[in-house]
Amino acid sequence: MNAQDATDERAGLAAALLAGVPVQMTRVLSRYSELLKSWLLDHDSLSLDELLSVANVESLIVVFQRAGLTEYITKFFGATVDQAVVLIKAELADNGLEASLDVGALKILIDRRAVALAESIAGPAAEAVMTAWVDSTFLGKSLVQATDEAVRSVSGKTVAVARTEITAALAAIDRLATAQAGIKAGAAFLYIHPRDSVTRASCAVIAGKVYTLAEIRAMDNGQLPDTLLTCGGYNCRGHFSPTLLPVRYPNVRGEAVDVEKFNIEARK
Amino acid sequence: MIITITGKTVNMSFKDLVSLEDIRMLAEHGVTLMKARITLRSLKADGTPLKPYSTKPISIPSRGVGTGSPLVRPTGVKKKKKSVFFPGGYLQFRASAGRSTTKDLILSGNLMRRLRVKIIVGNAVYVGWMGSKHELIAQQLDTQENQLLFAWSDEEIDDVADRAVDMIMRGLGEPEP
Repeated sequence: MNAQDATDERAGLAAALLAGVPVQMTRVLSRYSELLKSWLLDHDSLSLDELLSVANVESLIVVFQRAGLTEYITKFFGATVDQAVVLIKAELADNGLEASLDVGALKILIDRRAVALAESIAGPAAEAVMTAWVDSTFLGKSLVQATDEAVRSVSGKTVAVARTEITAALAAIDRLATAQAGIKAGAAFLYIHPRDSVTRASCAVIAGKVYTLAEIRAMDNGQLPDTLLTCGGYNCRGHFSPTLLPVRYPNVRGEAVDVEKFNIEARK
Repeated sequence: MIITITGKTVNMSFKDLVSLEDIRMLAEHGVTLMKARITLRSLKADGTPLKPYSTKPISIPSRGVGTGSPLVRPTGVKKKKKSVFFPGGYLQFRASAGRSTTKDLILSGNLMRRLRVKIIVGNAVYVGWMGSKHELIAQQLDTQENQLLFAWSDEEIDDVADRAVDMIMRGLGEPEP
């Protein structure tokens, strides 16, 4: 590939991204366009495949941030991502590549379930939660720093309560990103949780065992809705990680009685 | 498909035989096997135990430590003290905070929870963490374990390969072996 081909590839990718952006962002995009040009120059020695590697996708998102795009995240970013993903896929297909850009974090932004969960946990702090999560996920900002900023933006709550709620919401959104493939594939989930003296009795019952989505939905941690995403409740360290059935050694299949025990222990 | 984590790759030749979503699920299944080995069994990819937590004396900041919220604070913090000294090292700090002294890589739970498939391009699957902070921590932990922590054991590779064969057979309408 010569230099001109490489530039054309990037221009095509940039055009695909730009075409997916709503008209409300025109002002932001003129700035974005300038930044993108310098980004393209910085990466002109890479092939398209390399360009799309993880580090560079992240650096492209930093360009979004510098252009002021995050101000629009809660209002327009969902639609942007939706349209841009389709166009980027088409651009990649033109180059003989197939990509699953909707994996994990990016697509979660437009998942209504994540937004609803954030709202149900943190109420008026939902916007702060989403912004904190986007910043920590895409921009490499410390989750602690992002959470602190979110806490400061929430009024009418004590700092401790706001922090706990926002941390729970951020963790839930993270869990949704992790569980997403399993939900789509109809897979089961292994409960990853340590076994130590501060482990809740309810979490100890299900730690290291595999459950179906139906079984997890029958679990009630007594604190927060949707056990798949909130696990043992506030500040839980566990998460459900997708796994294929049938369960094979050394992992262990959970039983219906565990679900009952989980609910009993959670209510104590 | 090629799975990459902390710079290490595993190559499996399934291209065109399973769908993109199947590739993603296979990779997530592999990640779950890896997490279970580390957190539940405290083992490296070669089957040997993870190195024990450090006993080198250490000062832990009073505000706490961890890879995300909530930070885990040391017990016995005195007013105006910026840190708490643990002569028995990180191991002693973990014990005082009620955490397992057998290495499970879970303090706040953020590092393991955020490990997942990041992106799939062609048949290349990138596994890891969104944001450079966790990637950096993972690489440091991996180095401590001779690159055998966030790596794939033979059993894990075999399991993922077997599941892929199951998927292919199902796709062909054949009974699974």
